[in-house]
Amino acid sequence: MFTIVKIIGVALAFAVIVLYNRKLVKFVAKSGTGVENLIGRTLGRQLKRLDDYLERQTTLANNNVYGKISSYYNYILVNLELKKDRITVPTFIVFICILTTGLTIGVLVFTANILLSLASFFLFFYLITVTFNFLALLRYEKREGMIMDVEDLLSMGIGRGVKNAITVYTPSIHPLIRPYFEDFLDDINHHGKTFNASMDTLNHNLGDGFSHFSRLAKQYEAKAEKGSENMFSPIIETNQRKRDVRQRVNKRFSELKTNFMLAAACVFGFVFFLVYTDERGRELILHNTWGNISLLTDVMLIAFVQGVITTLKAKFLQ
Amino acid sequence: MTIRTIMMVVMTLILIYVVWDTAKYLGLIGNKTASKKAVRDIRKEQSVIKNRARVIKTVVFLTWVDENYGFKVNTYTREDLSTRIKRLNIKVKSLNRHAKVTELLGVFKTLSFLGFLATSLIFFTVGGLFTLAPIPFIFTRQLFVWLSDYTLYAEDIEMEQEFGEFYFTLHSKLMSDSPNRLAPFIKDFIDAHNSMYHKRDNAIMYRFAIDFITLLELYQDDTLALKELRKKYTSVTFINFSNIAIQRLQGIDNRDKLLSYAIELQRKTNEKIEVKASKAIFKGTIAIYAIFFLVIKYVIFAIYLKAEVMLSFT
Repeated sequence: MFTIVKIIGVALAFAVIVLYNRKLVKFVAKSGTGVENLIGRTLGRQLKRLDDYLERQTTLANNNVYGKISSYYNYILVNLELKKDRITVPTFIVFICILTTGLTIGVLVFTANILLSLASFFLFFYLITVTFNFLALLRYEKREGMIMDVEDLLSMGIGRGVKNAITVYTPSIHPLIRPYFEDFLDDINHHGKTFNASMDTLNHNLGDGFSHFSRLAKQYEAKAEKGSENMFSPIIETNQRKRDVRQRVNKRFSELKTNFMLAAACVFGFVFFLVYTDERGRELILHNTWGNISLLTDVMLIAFVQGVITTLKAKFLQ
Repeated sequence: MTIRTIMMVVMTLILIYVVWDTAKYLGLIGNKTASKKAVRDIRKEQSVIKNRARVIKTVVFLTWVDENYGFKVNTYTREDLSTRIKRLNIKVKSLNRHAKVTELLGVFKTLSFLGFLATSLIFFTVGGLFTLAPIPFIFTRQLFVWLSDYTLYAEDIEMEQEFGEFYFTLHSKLMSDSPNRLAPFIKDFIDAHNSMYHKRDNAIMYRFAIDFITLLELYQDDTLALKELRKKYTSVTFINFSNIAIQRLQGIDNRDKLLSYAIELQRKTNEKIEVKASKAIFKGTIAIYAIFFLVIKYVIFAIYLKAEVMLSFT
């Protein structure tokens, strides 16, 4: 009897869906758009406000916590060239949060353990940030080399003025950073921006490595006296030395990294051995919340050390 | 904790948020922001006035202590302390000025007196090693000099490494036939630095440039400003620069000296790069030792497991 009622119920529901199909679809679509708009509006407004707030805090004093967070993520965005796609720091952080929340929900569903999920939230957030930072640092090293090449080129041809030197040497600049120099020329030639404002934008896009040159360029343009192009000559020699030192340091750091990864592999091999040979060990490490959290902390520590080594290697010249 | 409980918690939180948001929308809570801000501003202003009055009283007291108690300090020490105050940027925040030597000496004398009092009291009551605890307070001035020496030395080292960038902005001017009027070049250096997005680097040279331009505007004479600046900055690189620059500004043709000075600065910049590289390698090596923490942790864990098995046998 109950089965018959069920079948009739399902049939009726099917009939209603078929009959009111178009209305239903319209309703769902409308409500979907409405909800999307509402979320977009609210979240967009909040993100814009947060973006403005961070920008203001960073401009006022870049030594406070907001300034540090903002410059950390801004650095990642600059080096991964995400600025071109108009991605701001808050949107990037929200993106990482959403990704982390998704992964944490996965862990929560899989393990049904709230403490472990909380720990895994921090771990995922940290790991994702570190991964992005790692990618950014790898790019940074390459960009640093490109920027040094540009500085050398421009310093040699600075006698005719910074803008002219950029115009002449733009085709010789590496394609990855060439668009920024084209934008610089475009800003001056077509958008009516001043030299200093355009140079600031160029420096903002190229990051810290270009700061010294940009400062000298502004000084030179302000008072281009006879012989003042001499102030650029130390740049060539310094860059030469930097390349030399960078090569040596890279070699040393690759050795350090190999040693570290081998040591970490040995530790995890030992943990693997413990888990598969000892029942009590398996229970304590795999089937215990604190054991799981301890394992997560170990992964976090290894990621941290890896991050520290990569940061030291990439940024020691700053 | 089951999924059902988590869902209940989440639902409750959503419900609380909805109730709070509705109450806010209806104007039942949080609708008096403007008046609250005005009250807050007035209170803040009153607290600033009170704080200022308190600071003035303290400053007057400290000056009185210095003038009426303890040994008189000679002029040389006073000048030395004055330089340290300026370089360490010791300020009386509420009065928006640098601290005066008499005020600083007042602080030292008060602390010395309190330290002496505490030492005597502890010696006659508790005794033992506790007597040694307040002794450092008796020698506050010496401690201040020692600690500030350490800070100033670190700053001097930083300045020696960063001075090249500043010098090369003046080099062309000093090498020219009319080397006077350095102010516009220093202003350009400051302006270029001010408009930078990444402002953190080269902070010591920025402060130096600000001091230099202030003195130039005050004295309207490059040589005099350099002489005054020498009283504040004791870095060897700067002293060498000021000697050569003063000669050049007085009309002596020492361009060969300026050139060799520039080469020396470049050598220092190269040295700085080498030092940075060595430091990075050292820090990287230290970071790798973190793996020992993991090794020790799992060795202890294995020992614990073995001990547990052995105990269960016995």
